Amino acid sequence: MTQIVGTYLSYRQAARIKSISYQIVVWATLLTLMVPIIWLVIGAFSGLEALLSGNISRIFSSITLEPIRQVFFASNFFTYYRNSLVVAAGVVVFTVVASTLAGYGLTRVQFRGKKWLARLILFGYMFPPLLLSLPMYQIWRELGLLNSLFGLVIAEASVPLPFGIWTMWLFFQTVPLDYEESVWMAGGSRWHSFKDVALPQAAPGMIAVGIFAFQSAWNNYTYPKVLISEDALRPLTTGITQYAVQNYVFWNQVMAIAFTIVIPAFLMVYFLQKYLLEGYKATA
Amino acid sequence: MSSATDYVSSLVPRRWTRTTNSYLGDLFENEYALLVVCLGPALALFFLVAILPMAWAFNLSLYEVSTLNPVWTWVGPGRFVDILTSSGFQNAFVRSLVFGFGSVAIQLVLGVGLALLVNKDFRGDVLARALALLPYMVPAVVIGMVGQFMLNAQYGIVNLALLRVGLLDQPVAFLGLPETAMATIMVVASWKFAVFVTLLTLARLQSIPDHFYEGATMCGANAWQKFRDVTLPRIQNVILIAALLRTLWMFNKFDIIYIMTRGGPGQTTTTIPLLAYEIAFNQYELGQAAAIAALMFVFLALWSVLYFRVARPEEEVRVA
Repeated sequence: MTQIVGTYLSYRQAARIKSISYQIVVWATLLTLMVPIIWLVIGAFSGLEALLSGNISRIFSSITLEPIRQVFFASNFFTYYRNSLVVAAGVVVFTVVASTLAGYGLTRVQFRGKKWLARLILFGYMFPPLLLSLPMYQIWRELGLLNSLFGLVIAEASVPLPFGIWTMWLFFQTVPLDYEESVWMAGGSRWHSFKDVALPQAAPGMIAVGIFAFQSAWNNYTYPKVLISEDALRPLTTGITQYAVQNYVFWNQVMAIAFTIVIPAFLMVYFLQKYLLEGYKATA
Repeated sequence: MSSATDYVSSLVPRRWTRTTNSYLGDLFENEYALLVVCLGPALALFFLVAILPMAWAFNLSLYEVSTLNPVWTWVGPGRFVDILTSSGFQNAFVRSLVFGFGSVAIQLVLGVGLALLVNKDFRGDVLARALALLPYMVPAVVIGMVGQFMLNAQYGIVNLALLRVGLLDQPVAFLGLPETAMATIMVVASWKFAVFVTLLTLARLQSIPDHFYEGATMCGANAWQKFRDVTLPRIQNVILIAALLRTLWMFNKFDIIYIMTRGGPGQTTTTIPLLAYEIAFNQYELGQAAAIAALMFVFLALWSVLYFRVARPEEEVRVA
């Protein structure tokens, strides 16, 4: 192809045409895949009547901030948002700390039964949240953890934890033991070598685990659905459905809430995709 | 090497000597204490949210327990026979298989294709990758609701577009018809979860060194040959792992199906998790729901054995 074209165009021009046509294919594909998101954004800024008329030009001429305003002044929106943020923060902190410690312990300490422990942790991948949440509902009731954000954090932290431990385990293996040993020889303790040598080296892994934990908690629907029945404690995911059930015709407002949920997710992948890929690179 | 050692030594101030350790430092000194400190939090959580609920479910599955009645009545293992032979369970199981394998097939094609597409370096590649990864980050609730909105028979954009193009002559309630509901949910769910395959594949693709492709080019390989001989051998393992994990997870998918159809119309999208939810929270039969959960754990354990046999994930972290 390039040879035939090359007789008419310089190599540089041919390469340029090839690159541009490649980019057209990429962006056309992505644009097609983004149709639901685009439609969500349009819905979040449209008048309800225009939206339900299905007339595209009417929808575009009705563009307004009204749905966003209505959602912001709805009584529960900020409560749901705050609950989601509190739970996500709790899950991120617990997951990052627990998996970093576990990853370090599993790499640096030799003990019997390590292989079985590894399998047990991997087995954590396999637990279906809904089926675990049914018995958990009973246990949480006995423990008084139903309708508590703390109880929700504990439940939701179980989802990203196996991946977190796995990632940190792999990351600490890439930190040579020599570095830590030289700290010990210089008179530092194990705690110091962990804190000042191993930990900074494993930081990209911790960021990847943190992102994963955030998105897992931010997305979780099943555990709040089963474990939270008090409206003031609902996170956004179950809160939004509550909203839609009450006012199921107000699609523009539902899309406006959805829009506010998608924004943090988009910012996260845009700015942190490098770390996200790194984390998956380690586990792949 | 020595420069790295020097650098590390320079990090150690005089006061860090073994005689001035903190309490935490002391814990890190002892191998057993270190193990407890490190693995304690993870294992405690693991016990509370996985082992205990599983044991609880297995125990509960042998009793008749209603949320409305606190008395537990012994039923015994015969309950499992009843469930396994009931048409409700069997149909839900088949639906789970259809949903699981069907949607994973779509996800593999879509996910790997997308990964190959955005792997190259080009102008705007960061934005392109962020967009490609976005569906996975968007909560299933949002996707379910946008799906409902777009697929609505009266004002849904999908119907309007298909009518305009002429592929339909009257609006179709995709989620409301027994014939189309399952297929529609499969497509919507695949849109979101294909990105997991993309993530894994993309991560592996990015670790293939460029000189492999340069070498192949110099040997005169065309694009297809490069894909077959350089790319495919390096990603086939990751695709297998993704397929096994995704099948497992799709089999247990609850949120997206529940939001879009609640298991309907009729029972046509009631997979196992929806059946268990329905029995626990609408029929208040916790014992029976626990029995279904217990059966699923057994099934998942078998699937996991396959996963460990085929994918050998623990060999990835050379367990010493």
